[in-house]
Amino acid sequence: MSNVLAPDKNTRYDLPFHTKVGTEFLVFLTALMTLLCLLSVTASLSLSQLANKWTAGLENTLTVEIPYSSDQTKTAEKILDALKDAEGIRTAKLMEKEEMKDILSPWLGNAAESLNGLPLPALITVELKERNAMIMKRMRQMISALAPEAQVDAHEQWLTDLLRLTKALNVASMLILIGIGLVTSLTVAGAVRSRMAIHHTELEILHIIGASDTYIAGQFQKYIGALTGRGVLLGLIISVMVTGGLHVMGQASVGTLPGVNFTVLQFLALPFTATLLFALSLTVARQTTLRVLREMP
Amino acid sequence: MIRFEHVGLRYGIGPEVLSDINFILEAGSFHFLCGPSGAGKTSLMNLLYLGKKPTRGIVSMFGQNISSLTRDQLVPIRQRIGVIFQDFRLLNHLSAFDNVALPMRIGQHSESEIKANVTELLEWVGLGDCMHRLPATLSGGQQQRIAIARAVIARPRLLLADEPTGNLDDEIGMKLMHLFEQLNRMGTTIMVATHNLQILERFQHPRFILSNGTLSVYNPKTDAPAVPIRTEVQA
Repeated sequence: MSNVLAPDKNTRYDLPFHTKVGTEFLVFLTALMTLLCLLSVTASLSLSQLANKWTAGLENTLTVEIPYSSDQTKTAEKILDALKDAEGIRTAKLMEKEEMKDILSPWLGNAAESLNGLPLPALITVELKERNAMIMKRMRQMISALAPEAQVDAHEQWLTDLLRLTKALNVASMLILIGIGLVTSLTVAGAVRSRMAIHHTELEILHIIGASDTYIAGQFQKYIGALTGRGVLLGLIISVMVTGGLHVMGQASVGTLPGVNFTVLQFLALPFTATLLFALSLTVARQTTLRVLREMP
Repeated sequence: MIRFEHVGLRYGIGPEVLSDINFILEAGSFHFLCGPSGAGKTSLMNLLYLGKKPTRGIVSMFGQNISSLTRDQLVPIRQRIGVIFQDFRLLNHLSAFDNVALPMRIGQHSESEIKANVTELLEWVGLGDCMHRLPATLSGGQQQRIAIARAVIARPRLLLADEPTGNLDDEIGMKLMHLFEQLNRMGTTIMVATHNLQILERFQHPRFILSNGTLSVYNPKTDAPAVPIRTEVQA
């Protein structure tokens, strides 16, 4: 019988990292963290895209609303004529009955087919050359002089609320990213400290043989890198699948719901963020090892 | 090469385990370190392989005062010292080859150089056919030879052996001592901590005798009584 044993399967490390001591969970934890991180980035990018989409059509437009009355049409035409000659106005258009039907159909259903008899306001859609306080003021004064009952809706409140909401969601997304980074860092540091405590004797031997702190830190970095690298890759694959699915849904969507119609650069943000998380785990592993070694004699 | 001046060592707030130790180890010398159990031999060896820093006094190694060096600056000094322990302290997950190769890998030698040197050295210590075996599958004598090979592979200038024959039978112990003699003839400075009387009688090298934390020197060639080394540095 041959008593020659093959060297241990894991001789790439000077320390016995192949022994299972519970740090292997880092693969799954990093995968989960990567997934959460990338979904957060995806959500943030989608929200920004959605907000841009919603605000793009409203930024330079306003609506003049003339309440229902017997001379509603005359008043509308009067305002329309005045607006066409006014400074800073690109276009001014009275909303057709067909467009009104389209707008009201989600609420009225088939009843929207016949709008006759309904006391609906007349709506004039105005497109500005630029949103300018001076132009807005002059226009309000002009409309008020022509028809005091007419109202101007410049969508200001809507735009402000929307932008505020988008900003808040982006901040929340950033906080989530910071939280994920923090949790990953703490977990990696804990895993390194635990491994260092377990392999204290081997570390002493390496030191006596002449290994520098950076050499030992390199070993830990390599080990943690192998675990978190696998985790990050797994998380990235799952995230790309999820994002890909949302992208397909986004392509099929009518346009009101958030989709993931990302540009190439936006898609590249996913592997970039995953790489950052991986780099963070490597840095934390190295710095923790060096810090603990400095505490040793 | 190695100089201890008024060196003391204590652990925590306990009493000094070594007090006022003075000696010089000249390059190429061979010394024994003797003394009863608990006399401080291991503590002195610890200071010599830089496992600890003295709590007082000056330790100079290879021309540098180690108290004034940073952790990083101690690394090249450690790399010039080979250490053999009574309990071998091999890395049990690594093969004999990888254990011996470790100092060269740490020194960033090329793999081809490592392979050639480690193979040659393992052949020299008679373990050419056990290279890929794990330490746990080898006898005490074989493990000790791996430990020796690991200690000398990087050609250290100082070789320290702490009770190297403690776990070996007499015959292998003698062979080991002959190996040290060979290394000493090749220029390596050697310090062997032992209380093996048979070895001390057989090999007539100067002896540092530690007793109650203080050091005296005895040279069997002159057979003069052991002289305490207290205030003057002598060897």
